[in-house]
Amino acid sequence: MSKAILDCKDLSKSYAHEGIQNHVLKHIDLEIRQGEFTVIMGPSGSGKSTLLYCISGMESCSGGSVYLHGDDITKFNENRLSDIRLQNFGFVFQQIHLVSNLSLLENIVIPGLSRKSGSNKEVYAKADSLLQTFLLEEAKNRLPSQVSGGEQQRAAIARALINQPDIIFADEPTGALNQNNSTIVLDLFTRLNQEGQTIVMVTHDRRAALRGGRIIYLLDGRIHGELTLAPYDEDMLKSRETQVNAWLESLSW
Amino acid sequence: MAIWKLIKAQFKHKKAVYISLFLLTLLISFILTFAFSMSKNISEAAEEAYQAGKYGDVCFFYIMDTPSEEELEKLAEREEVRDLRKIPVVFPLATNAGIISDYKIATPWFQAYNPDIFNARLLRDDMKSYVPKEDASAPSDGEVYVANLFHFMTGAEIGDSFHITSTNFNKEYRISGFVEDLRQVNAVNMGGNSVFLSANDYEDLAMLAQEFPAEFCESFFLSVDKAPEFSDLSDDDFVNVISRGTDIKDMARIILTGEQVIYFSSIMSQIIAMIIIFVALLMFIANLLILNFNINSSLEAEYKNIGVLKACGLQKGHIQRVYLLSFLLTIGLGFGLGLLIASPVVVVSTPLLLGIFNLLVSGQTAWLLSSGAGLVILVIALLMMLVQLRKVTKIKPREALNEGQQSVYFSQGIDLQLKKPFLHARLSVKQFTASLHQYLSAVLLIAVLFFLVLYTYSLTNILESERMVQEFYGLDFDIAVRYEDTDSETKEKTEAVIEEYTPILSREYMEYADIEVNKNSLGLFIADNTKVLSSLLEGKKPEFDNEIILTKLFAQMHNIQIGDMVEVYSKGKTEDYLVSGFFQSLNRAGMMALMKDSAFRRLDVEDDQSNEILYKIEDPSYGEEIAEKLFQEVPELYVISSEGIQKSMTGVDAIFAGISWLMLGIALLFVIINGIMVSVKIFYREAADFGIFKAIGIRNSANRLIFSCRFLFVAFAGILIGYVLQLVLAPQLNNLLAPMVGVSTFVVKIEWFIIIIFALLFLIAFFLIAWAVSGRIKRLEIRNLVNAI
Repeated sequence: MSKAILDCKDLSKSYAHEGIQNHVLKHIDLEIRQGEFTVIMGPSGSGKSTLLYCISGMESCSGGSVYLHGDDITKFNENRLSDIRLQNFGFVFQQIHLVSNLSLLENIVIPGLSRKSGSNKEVYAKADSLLQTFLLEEAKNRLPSQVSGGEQQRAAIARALINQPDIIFADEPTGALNQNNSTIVLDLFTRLNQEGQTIVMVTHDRRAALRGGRIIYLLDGRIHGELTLAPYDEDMLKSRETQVNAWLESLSW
Repeated sequence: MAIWKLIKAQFKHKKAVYISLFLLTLLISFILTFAFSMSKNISEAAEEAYQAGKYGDVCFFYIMDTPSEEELEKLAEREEVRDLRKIPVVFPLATNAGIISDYKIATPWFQAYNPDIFNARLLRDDMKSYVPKEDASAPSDGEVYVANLFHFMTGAEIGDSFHITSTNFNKEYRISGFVEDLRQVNAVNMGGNSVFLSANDYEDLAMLAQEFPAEFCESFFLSVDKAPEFSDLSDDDFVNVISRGTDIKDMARIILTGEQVIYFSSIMSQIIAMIIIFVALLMFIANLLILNFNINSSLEAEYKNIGVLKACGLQKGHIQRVYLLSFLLTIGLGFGLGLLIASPVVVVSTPLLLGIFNLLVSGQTAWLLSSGAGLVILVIALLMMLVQLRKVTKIKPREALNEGQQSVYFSQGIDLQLKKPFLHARLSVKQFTASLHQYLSAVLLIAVLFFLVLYTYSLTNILESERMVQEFYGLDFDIAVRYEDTDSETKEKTEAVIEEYTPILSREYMEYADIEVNKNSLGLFIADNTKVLSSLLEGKKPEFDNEIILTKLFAQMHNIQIGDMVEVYSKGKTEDYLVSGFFQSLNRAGMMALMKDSAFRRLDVEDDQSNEILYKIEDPSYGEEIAEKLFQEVPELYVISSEGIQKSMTGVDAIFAGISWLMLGIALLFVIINGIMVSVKIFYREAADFGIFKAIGIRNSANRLIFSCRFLFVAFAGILIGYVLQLVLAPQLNNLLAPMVGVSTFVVKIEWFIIIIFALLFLIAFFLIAWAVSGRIKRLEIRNLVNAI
């Protein structure tokens, strides 16, 4: 078994609104291991996105700890959290969130250039390589509004990868895409994972969940079930789908 | 009902916007109401003081030469004259003639207190009201009433001593009251400081004048009232009509019409009110821009919501009404409250005005005028909003629902490669240039604010005593000496005294006369050498015997151009002269002309005029010391130094500077409130980008730098435009103020380093405001930011 990169212990998150506490995450223990493709599923309001934001250092937790390589990031100040988001994590949003006045290339290089290490040349070389891999070479100088949703999301994934992060977090990455573009993005995730990239993806799409090697089912702020799958194989898709559907049905979803 | 719910929601969710708009309007309303009330109250007080004071429709003030009793009798018999009052006055010719504590009154005049012929209203001990005329008696022997001006200038109180001192006379009096006298020093030095004595004490002084004519001179004021059937005659025409063919006008040292008395008494307040109104006007323009900016950003931010409301069946009219009513209510409330707050401030500040304007001013609020201004503001704001809100019509529900928030960027901006170093500054430039049009209103707003600050600052030195003497007085001299006879030994003695201090560089002969140009009264400088003229504005100095130059103000009033021939009348003779140029001079509120001595002789005037010499000395800082020494050594001389004139104007100077600095302070406060409003708006408009930057690991400090740097660019662009506005508009605004003090051209003087300091202050202020506002990046969660909160 590969070593754990991220380890959440007793993680809780609650919001106070007009004096009423809303407990979104309740005492979650979760371990993310090197090279794993973890999928977090659950109905709307189950807390899956909140969990993703909390373990990726995007949002503060109300209780518990999140260890990255043994360091509790919940104790980090904002600057150290920023450094972790820059160097250790990559994040892909459902709504893509590229900076609208920057070209795809510029969007991709910003995190690379924001690091102290690495020259401009190295960052642009890495970006070119990603653009080539993600078939974005022709579109690289266009604005996000001038390319398709699929191209935008691929650029967002390239942006998440520019600093070779330990983990990529993806919050419903296919949520805003059509089926064709969704497949392209999911294929990309699968390929990255097969190359050793650790991925944590939130989705409510069963088809997307099939790409994962491990599915965590969240309900009402708690981990309600976990399913481990064999490595993804396109030829075994049917049986994988049956297995996942049966498991989800057993959880009454 | 639904509309009120939506309006309530607007107020609830955009508290900051509405509170700021409310505060800005309140500020504008407050200063406008204050300015209108002050102006109205002082004008009314001056008018009332004039009516009560029996100044007459015109008063002539004689010093050495006086018209004969025969001429006065003839004057009294004229059908145009209803009443004529001769008010005897004694002038000291020597120095130190009037001393209150350590304060030496430069040119006091003494007269017997007699409210029946000249009613200088006596103030009660608390200086808050007048003693009724029937109860106001003359001071007892050994006591004096002095003009209320001295209470404020010297701190003199009732019971203090007042000395009249000369070589052969020294007497101490007790100050037993303060009186109001519109002839006292005010915005323009009218040449006198009033001291009122008992009839007996005055008689003693008059006797003294006969005994020691070198030390005291008895003369008189002549107040003349128009007959009712000639009430249509203007005061100026009245003067010309009654003095034609006599020496009545020519002998007078000062002629004041009733209109001028009121004008001079209230001019300071009018100028100050104008300054405040200009500042308020600029603030209002800035307020309109901010309102425009707010509506635009609200429409952008609520693009989707408007789509939803339209999809739910609300008509564009409903939505427009929500914005209109919420903004109008805010502006209306702000204006109303500003008006209400100003009212007690007007009452509280009224007693202070006595010290500034020498008038007892009522604390009435100019409700009607201020409400009218408020109504105009509301109407203009309403029209501007109606234009802006037409955009609601163009919002299509389907597009709005699909697109969500209206896209912010349309271009990549400047072609600048993102790289290290200065990555964040480069990012900031790209984002700023990409959405330049969105910053346009912010740039314009800063331009107006920068212009407002520069212009307000320029007002602080516009009426500096130094400028008044050097630029607006019209003549270039350090010491002016009026001789009985310029060929006498006195001249040699005088010049010897001057040269004890510093060498004389030049001496120019000068005289003054009263003339009529195209039948309009005018003062005339008669110069032997026109080199002495320091304020030629257009054309050329008069060189030949048929040339005259006029003040531009007079020329503009009477539509006279350079090259025109004008008819000049003096002492019964008329000649034509060519206007060779325009100049400006504060003298006689700008109603002056200048010609060469030889040109004046064409009017057959006897050659006895040039008895004043204007000296330029090597070290002008000795000016006042020399004047003082000359008073002691040659007491019969009339000596003034430009430094002395300058000092006599420092009161005016200080008031202007005080008001202007106050306005500058208000303008800076206004800039800060506006700066916060604009940066908050822009921050929320671009919050998603900061969320993205934060999510990808850009530190908060760098993120805040990206945001704040943009304000440096916005502020810089605004500063440049603001400076251009200052160059173009400030002279226009000043030209509206200038004629009020008899000047036609105020050149705005702002030193480069001041502009640079203000520019830096603006840059720093906007950067810091943006930095503070972007602190929200720290506090807000990424999820909220990327979803644009």
